[in-house]
Amino acid sequence: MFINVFKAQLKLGFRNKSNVFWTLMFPIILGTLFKITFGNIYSEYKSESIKTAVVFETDNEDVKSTTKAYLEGLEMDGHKMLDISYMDYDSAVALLKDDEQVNGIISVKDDGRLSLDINSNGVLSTIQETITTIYNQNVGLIEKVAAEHPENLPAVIQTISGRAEYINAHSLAGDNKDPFVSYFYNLLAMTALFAALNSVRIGNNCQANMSTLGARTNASPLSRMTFQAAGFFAAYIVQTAIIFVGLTYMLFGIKINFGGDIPLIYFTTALASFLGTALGFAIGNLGSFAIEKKESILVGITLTGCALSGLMYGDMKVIITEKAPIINKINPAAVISDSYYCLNMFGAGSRYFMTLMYMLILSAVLIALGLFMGRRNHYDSI
Amino acid sequence: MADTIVEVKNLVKRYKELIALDNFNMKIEKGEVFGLLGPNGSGKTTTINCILSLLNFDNGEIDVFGEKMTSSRYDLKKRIGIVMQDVAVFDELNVEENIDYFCGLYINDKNKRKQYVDEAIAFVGLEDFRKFKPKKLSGGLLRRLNIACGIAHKPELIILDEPTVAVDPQSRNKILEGITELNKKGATIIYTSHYMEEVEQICTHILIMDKGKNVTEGTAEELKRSIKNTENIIVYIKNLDDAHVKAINNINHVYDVSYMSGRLEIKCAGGRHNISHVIDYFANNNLDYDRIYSELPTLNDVFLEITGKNLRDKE
Amino acid sequence: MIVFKSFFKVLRNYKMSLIMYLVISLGVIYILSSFNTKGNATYYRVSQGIAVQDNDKSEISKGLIEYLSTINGIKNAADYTDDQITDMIYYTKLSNRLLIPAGFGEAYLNGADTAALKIESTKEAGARMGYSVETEIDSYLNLLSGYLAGGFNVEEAQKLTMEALADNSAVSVVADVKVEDDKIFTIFQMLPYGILTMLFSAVLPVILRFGSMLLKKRSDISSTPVLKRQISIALAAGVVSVFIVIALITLASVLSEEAFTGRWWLIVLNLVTLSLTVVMLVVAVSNLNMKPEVSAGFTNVVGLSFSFLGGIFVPIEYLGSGAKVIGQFLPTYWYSEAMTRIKTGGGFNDILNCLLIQLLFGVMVMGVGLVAGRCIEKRTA
Repeated sequence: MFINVFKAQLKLGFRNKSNVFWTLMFPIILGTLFKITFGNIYSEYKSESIKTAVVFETDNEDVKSTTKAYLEGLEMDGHKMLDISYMDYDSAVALLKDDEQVNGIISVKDDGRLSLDINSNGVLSTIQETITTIYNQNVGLIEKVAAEHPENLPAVIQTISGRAEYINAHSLAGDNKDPFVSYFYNLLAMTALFAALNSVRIGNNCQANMSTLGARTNASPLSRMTFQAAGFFAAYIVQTAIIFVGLTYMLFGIKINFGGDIPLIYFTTALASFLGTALGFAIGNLGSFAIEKKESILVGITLTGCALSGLMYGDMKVIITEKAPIINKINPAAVISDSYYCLNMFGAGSRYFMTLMYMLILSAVLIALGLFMGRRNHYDSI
Repeated sequence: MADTIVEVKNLVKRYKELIALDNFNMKIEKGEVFGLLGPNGSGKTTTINCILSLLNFDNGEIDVFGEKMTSSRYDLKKRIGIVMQDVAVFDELNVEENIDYFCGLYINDKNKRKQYVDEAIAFVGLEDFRKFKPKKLSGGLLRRLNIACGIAHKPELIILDEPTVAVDPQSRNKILEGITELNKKGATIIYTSHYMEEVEQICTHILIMDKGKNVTEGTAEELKRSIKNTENIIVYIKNLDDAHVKAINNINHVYDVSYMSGRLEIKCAGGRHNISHVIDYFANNNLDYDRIYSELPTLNDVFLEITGKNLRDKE
Repeated sequence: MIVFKSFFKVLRNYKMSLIMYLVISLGVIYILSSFNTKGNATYYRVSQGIAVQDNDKSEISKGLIEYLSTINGIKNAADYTDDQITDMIYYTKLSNRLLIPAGFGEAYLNGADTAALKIESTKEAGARMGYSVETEIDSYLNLLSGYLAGGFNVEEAQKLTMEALADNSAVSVVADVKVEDDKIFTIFQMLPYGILTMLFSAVLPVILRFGSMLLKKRSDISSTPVLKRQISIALAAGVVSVFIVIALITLASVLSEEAFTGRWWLIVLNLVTLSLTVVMLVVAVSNLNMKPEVSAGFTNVVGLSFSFLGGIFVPIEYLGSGAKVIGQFLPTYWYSEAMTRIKTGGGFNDILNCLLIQLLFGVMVMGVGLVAGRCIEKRTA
């Protein structure tokens, strides 16, 4: 009996074209979109030199050559920090204002100091500012020492030229450190939860007071438990198949680096799909109202959850972590995306397995809730 | 009594203020085609849902196959087939798959099921539509599919809740013949309908309910005999004065006369030679009529007399 | 009139999704505006959070932390677990985690081989912010050692170093490019997501319901002329849209505690233009003979994609070059562009272009939609 219902539910799931279409469209359309939006940010962000206009407001050749050597010599991660073009001030201002052709203008003054013009605040401006001020500070240092302790000048110049490194730098662990990849985590979470449209149906199909089909099923000798279980596993397989197609597209079609072992990513996704099925199952058994309403509730929970875990605005999850961490624990979207995140950042270690456990626990709670709410099989009214 | 298939005793069901079933009693014997009649809202479907143990009820007892029916009596449910008032099939599955699915809720053996599904398809005459999705079927065919889904597992008790609503005469005949055939093969049938001719045609026992009560029951003949009306005389006559209509009403044994669009209907209670009295009246008053005939009351008359002519709210 | 009224009756069925999108967009906006407030200085350094663990506790290490705290938010690393710190670095809430080893200050003053005792800094490899903090530390310590070498005592040298470092007078923001970064911008920047999703979910399914084949046949044989019916539907859709837009503007103004100022009018004008465009888009889409069930998925895809590509969620400057090219074909992109111009002090003339492009998009899409709708109708007739 189980097998029979299971097979039929499987057919039902795969033949519900509009559900299959939309649950597939989300990862494909939005994945492609995210790829276009964020795909190159990180690599561009990492390797780009800052476009800087340098203007000489002095004829002092010594000053010119010293500053030139300093600015052109700055490096970061093996590439030049600044992408310098030399020009006069007016054309530099025009470029700065109009099309962001340059991010800032460094002017070299007569007294050997530098000044910086920028048009907006941001990381790039901060770096340019640091470069400018360090230079000016050293000029200031030399002036001060020359005025008060001229005898120590050689020692000071030696310190400046022998600029020491006080930092032992480490990088964060993690396979893909691109924070934008978390948008894809949230997208997968959304797909997993939206796929639950499949499992919402189970509850409605076996409750006599929700559908004629439910009444007919109730009148049959099939026990509620068997029907729920068969429906649940059928929906799970349908959903997992759909989301795997979406995931495969993201991994191999548009080549998103999720970080972590590919088999483990599929494994995580299979569990995410389980959580989605459980959510749909719980909502499907929620009460005796129309399936459309239940679907709206599912869409509401999914979108709200994804909004809170950073689908729309990446920093959202951090804000929630700081202000109301409990939400991240009960928000299924956050639980799912956290699991991918941990796999990427910490590898297949204890923290990752904790998140998997957490997905299972949340699923179990939802399933229990669904079973509890859908337990009765006779009704006060139909 | 081993031969009682369904017994309903003092069933009470309330929906808040509304009393849907009011100490309702019913007994269905093996081999009957049991007609359950009543106006909309009289409690037919509620009764069926209670028998199936889908609905909670406030008081009373229901025995099916001689045993107390509860929602977990799967052994009893297995012997029941239900054809719902609304078509309940999956849009995504074709005819064959739908029947197989519902049959599969009752029967596990795959080969046996295949045979049953084929028989059910043949039974309702959907051989040419095996692979059709429900959306492609016409109203009549859809109804037939709905029936096939309910009876494929060869139940001993078949409940048909208005199975012929919105069905063309051809499909209806097919369905009615099928029901009779099922009954001949040994199934006991509960049949609800608004179509009196259907009920009269196939039911061996009829129960009329109204406002949640068992008003009367018996065979069609018994019911007809039980009512005041024993004969209807129909006269087709043009331009009859109100005075004449009143006068006809005063003829012995006549208790109701209605005249509309040239058709005069005279209801009589008891008496003999009633039609002669009417013909005499027309002859004495020099009235010409086109046609006159007499007929026995139909189930429709029984129904209307018992439940009244007032319009009922939709269920 | 009956058509007009029944529009609202049908709309009642979709109130759930309307409320949902209202809650989501306002929720996101509210959380962001209350936790992400920035100052309004003409120039500020991007302030990083740094988690510091000071095992040294020397004069030098304290001075260094004091200096860093003038620019950055300092968090005590001991207050967090390692994983939490990793999370915060990943999500760019913290730029670095610093560990100052015991004995660092002494080694520094003695000019000993600093290779043995260095400050351990963990940062995300690709982020410039991490480098920026490391540069600050190196600059401070280098400059400090310069002053120490110049014969000043530790206290004096620290004071001089701080003064020198605090002086960023060399930096100026180009005169007529004044950047305002108030709440009102954060809030109205996110609003198009609400406009898109709410207009789509309030208007599209209802129009589709009216157009659904059976209902359409029944209405076609009724005595109300087609044109009159269409006008009634359009009018009702218009009323609903106006109501939604006004409601959103009101709520957003309350949240940003600003209304009827010069820039407020410009922002509202921008938003109204966008809304008009979105309504035209909805009209275009409603011509495509979709099933009403499809509209929920459609709303979601359009809402998210227009918002991402148009710089609603993520500033345009973060978008990849490909995304920018595509974004330029969307009204939301020009909405964001207009917002940027208003932010930098632009007036009506500066944003007029952006407004016209948005409207052009709407008119174009509506034209295409109407023609496509005609074709579909002919084919199915």
